[in-house]
Amino acid sequence: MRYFTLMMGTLLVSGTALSLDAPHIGSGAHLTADIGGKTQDIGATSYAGVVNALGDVSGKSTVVQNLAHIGDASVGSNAKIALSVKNAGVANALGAFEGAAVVNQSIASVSGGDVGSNLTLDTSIENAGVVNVVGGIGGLAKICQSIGSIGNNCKEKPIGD
Amino acid sequence: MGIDLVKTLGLAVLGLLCVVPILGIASDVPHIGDGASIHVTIGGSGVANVGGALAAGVNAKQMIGSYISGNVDGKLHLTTEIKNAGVVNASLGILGGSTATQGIGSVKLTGTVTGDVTDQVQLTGAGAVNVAASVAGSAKACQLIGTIGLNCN
Repeated sequence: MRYFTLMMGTLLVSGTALSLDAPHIGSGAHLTADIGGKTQDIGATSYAGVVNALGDVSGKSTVVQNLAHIGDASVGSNAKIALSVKNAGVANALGAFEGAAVVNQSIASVSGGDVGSNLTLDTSIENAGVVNVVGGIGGLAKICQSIGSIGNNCKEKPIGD
Repeated sequence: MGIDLVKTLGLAVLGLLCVVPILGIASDVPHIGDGASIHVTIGGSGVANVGGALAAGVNAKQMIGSYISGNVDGKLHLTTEIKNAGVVNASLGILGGSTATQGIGSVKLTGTVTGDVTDQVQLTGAGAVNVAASVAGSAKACQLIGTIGLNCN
């Protein structure tokens, strides 16, 4: 019996640790991101306002950019995510990616977790672009872009498979 | 004593089989309460997933204002408006064995929505392009705009 007790105790502790890893937010959470300003020129290249990875990457790489995003979290009711991209762009990866890469850009989206009632996602992209990858991508790469969406685009199989 | 130990270990294994999957499934897909609204407006500039060349065996997936997976306990409202700028998934060609999927204001039914679904997509003065160049043999290019279900079978 003590083996069983020990095993179950370990499981309960593990379970508690897992649930504590994710944030718990009460009702009425609002995430608001305004990306404004103007595009900046550096040398001969014009860069956007928000950039995650800049440069060439070889080998197995993971490049993830989340803006105004709910991931593995527990959020109460009336959560609202509002993202506005105005005069400066947003880019996740600028460069060449060789090898097996995962490049994931998720903007104003909910990819996981538990969200209460009346979820609102508002996305406005005005005078600047939103780009996930600018550059070449090697074989076996997974390139995922989610804007104002529910679900994890990168975990889903290709449609039809 | 030996039989008790076997019973104890057996129960422990059963416990593992019951508890571990529950913990694992809990965070796989999002769960939304009663009602969700998604509004996406894309104005004077473009949105692109990949702006470069894709090698063979690449998956390029772009979803905008869409329900990809998860469970919604109530109504789901999707509104997507694209005005004077284009939306592009893969701006150059894709090679063999690659898949390019573009979903705009779409419901890809991996999950459950228990209430009404409202889906409105408006394109004015701008295009939506999945693959903007050549597609090699055995590649898949799938585009969903204001649709429910799959289109790539």
